[in-house]
Amino acid sequence: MHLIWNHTTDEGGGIMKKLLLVILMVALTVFSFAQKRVTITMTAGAVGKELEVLYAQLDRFMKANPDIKVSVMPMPNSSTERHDLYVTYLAAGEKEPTVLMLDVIWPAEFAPYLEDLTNDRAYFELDKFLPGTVKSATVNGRIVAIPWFTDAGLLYYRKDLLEKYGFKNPPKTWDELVKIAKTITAKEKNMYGFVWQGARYEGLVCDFMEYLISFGGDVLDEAGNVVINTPAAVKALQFMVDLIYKENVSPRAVTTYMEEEARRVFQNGQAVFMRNWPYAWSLLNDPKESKVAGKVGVAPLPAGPAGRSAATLGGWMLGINKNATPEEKEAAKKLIKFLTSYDEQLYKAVNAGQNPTREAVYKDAQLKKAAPFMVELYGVFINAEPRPRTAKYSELSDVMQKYIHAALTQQMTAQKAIEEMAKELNKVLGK
Amino acid sequence: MLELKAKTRETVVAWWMVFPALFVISVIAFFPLFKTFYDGFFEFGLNPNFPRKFVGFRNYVELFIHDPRFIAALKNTIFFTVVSVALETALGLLIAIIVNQPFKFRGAVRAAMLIPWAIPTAISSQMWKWMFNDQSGIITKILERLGVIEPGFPILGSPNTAMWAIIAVDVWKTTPFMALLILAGLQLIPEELYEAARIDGANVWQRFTKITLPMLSSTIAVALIFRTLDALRVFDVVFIMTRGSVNTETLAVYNRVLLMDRAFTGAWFGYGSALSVIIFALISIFAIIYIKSLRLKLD
Amino acid sequence: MIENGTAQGVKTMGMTTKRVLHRVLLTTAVIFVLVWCIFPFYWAVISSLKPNIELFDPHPTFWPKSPTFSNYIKVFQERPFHVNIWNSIIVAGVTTVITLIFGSFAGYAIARLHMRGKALVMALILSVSMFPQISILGSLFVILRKLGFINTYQGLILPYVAITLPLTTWILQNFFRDLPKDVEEAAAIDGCSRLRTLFQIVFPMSAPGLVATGLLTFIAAWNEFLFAFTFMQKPEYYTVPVAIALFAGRSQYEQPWGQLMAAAVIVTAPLVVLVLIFQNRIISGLSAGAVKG
Repeated sequence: MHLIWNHTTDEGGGIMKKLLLVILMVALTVFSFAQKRVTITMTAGAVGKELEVLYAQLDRFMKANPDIKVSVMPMPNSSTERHDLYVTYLAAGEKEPTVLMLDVIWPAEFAPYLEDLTNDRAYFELDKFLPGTVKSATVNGRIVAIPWFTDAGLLYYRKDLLEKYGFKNPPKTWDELVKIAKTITAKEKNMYGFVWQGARYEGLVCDFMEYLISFGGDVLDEAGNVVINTPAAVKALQFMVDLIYKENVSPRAVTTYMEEEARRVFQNGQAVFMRNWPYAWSLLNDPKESKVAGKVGVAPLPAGPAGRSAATLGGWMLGINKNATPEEKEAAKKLIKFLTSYDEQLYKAVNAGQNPTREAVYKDAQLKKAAPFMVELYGVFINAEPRPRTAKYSELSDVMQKYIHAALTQQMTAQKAIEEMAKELNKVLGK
Repeated sequence: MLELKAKTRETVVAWWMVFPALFVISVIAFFPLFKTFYDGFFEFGLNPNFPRKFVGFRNYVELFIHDPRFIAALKNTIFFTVVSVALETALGLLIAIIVNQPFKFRGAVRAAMLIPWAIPTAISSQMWKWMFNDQSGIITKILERLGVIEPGFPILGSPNTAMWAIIAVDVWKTTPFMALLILAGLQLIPEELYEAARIDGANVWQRFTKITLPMLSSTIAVALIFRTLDALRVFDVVFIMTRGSVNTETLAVYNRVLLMDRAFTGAWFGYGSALSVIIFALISIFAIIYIKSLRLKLD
Repeated sequence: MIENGTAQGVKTMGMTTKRVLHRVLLTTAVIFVLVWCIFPFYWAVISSLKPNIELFDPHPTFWPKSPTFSNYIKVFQERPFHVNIWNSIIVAGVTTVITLIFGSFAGYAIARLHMRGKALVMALILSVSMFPQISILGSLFVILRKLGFINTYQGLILPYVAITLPLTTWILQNFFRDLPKDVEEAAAIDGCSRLRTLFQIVFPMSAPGLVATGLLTFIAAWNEFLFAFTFMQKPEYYTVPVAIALFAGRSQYEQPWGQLMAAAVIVTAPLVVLVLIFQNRIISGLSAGAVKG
């Protein structure tokens, strides 16, 4: 250093100038690297396997993309709480979280706050995704979210009991289910026939849609008109009511059951059939926790008189906050592409038990080994039905829940419930 | 002249002493409160697709005339409030008196009595929800054993019993609140008053009605105001135990539907704000009734 | 109730019967209160010690068949629960101190000093508690964001002080007003300033009121969920209720019941023990000051 200074004073700053220039260039480069580092936030489920898997995935992503930092904002279990948090933040114009984990029924509602991804259809390879999930992410022709993992309603049954009473296969129709249930409960003590989700909450709409569609009814048509007031719909609702009060196949308390309550009854060995999401599978087969480990089978839900079986589509998608800066949005797109890639979806399916949204993953040998029922029930997932798609879905769901639950608790007849539901739905949708 | 100066000085000191509290409350509360009042006169949604429209008092008229769900929630809320608060006050008074007597381990009992209030509401509501469960709930089992209900009866799923279950849980949880405040009031009644009365020949009942109750009345009034104000806004225990189904929906539960569920889906935010103002008005009415009838002094 | 003075013997026997009756009634009542308050907590404790497979047995037992501490271990393993507890202690503690000071100042001024518009001031202070929390949540979020208080301790302490001031002010105002005026007047004649009177005379005399409102404020701040959940976005700032709400099982639907009960015990038991220790200490300490004055 001393020498350089000596030189500088002697030679009039030639070398000094060069040194300064080098230092300036190094500083600029370092500075610009520091500038380029983008931080984005992502909401995710809180603890347990889901978060563990996500952290591993984020580690891989950040290693491959050193200019992007991702931090996680854990969310509580309750979908309601997640929803309300998004409302508060988005209404206040917050740009965080950058990447929002969206329930499959939210894209229409949050569309004005989500970045339009329609032009990135090819970038995200959406043609390779389960069509039902892409449909749910599309609002008025615009794609506002990318499907991340999916869920569909399934029929769980006691293999051992069906075998014991001579039933070789799980029921193919609802009537068959009732018959099998009645036969078994007549002979077995402390046994309910069929448990499902009948409490007044979103899950009730999921269950109801499965009956409604398998009986040939629907809520909205393609144009968005209310078409629920049909004999098929009344029959479907009446069937649900009869399960409890006429056939005595479902306990009265099913009107207070959400997913966990139904699972616990089934897991304690007190039910022949259960309708639930795929998550229950690994819990039911854990010998440390479950009294029915190894005795459980899973099948598509039975078909109704219309000849078709229907499973409600569940699952979560990833959307981008419209308030984020352009750099953050770019980073977010990269992250979403990574998380929804073939390898990462396979990893997530094998390790966290969450169903992939890419069709090809279902053919993977690794998946077949780790979660065979996901592969076997592929038909259910690819045909799963989204719930009615409208920006006013939460209002629609609220109205439906009210009347379905009223019928289930015998506060009104199924006929009246469907009629009143149609009237109020028309009011809510402004028709 | 001197007295006037002293009074003025006192007023200055008084305002300085009141200032910190008023300052915090202004910063935190005034904007949200005024905005809620203001919003109640408009029809709009938080979604930019539903812009503001001034509608005057129409939201209020709609609520009372065209909204049976509001009327049902209003009835449920008032029923819940009156029954809960009455039970909590009676039990709170009883417990406070018991715990004011000298006995061994009194300190331990005073600490234990706080437990229902100290457990976070989310946890205790879940716990009670589980105790009322039709299959493995301990309360259901006990009631079955006593023959009060049939096996597998869903207490939280039935319109006749659900609200009572919720009230029971709320009474369990908030009785310590009343008991603690009333106990403090009891402890501040000078012993000499009771001594004098005893000497005069008054019996237990007379001492209770002529000394205890009158001296407690202002404390009970304040405790009542705050319990009622919480009861009229009750949300957590109802939402967790029944989500408002089987006719247990209260005003705050419906309010959440309007302000949160429908925030982006329609023009309901003004309507929901009007409902918040109605809750405010309801609380004011109760508060004024308590202040007047129990002669609570404010100046 | 036989309080005539006929014969000494009869009088003594009447007194003893009365005392025994009183004792029996009191003991029964105390036992009832204890069972009423503690039974659900007892249920939480034994649930926290039961392994999952026992928890939802249709024939619930009053004691775990194979007790285990695994739930407690999981509570601390799966999240930095000790950090959450620390956050709650700071937020609730500071809130309580500030509320007691501001509330007693305001309460004393209203109870004892001359000023106009007292009823209005009390009504303004009360007004913050008269709206459902949901309706002020959005606007409050906007304000705190403008002040830069999101993800900070003060972002919670400030709203908590605001919502606990009403009860504290109203209760203390009431207690101060009912205190005998002569002690304060004597101090004023002696040249004592208002503040000194407040701290050295009024506080000790109204100690039960201060303890009661202090406890209620602490518990309210400790258990508050909605604001804590909305205003703290970073996990290292989460308070206990938020951390508990984030308890999850292996999937979105599963509720880890055993862990929830363990958390309830972890969070409630120390609070109760603290009350046990402090209630008696504080009351005797403060009251001692009053006796001397």
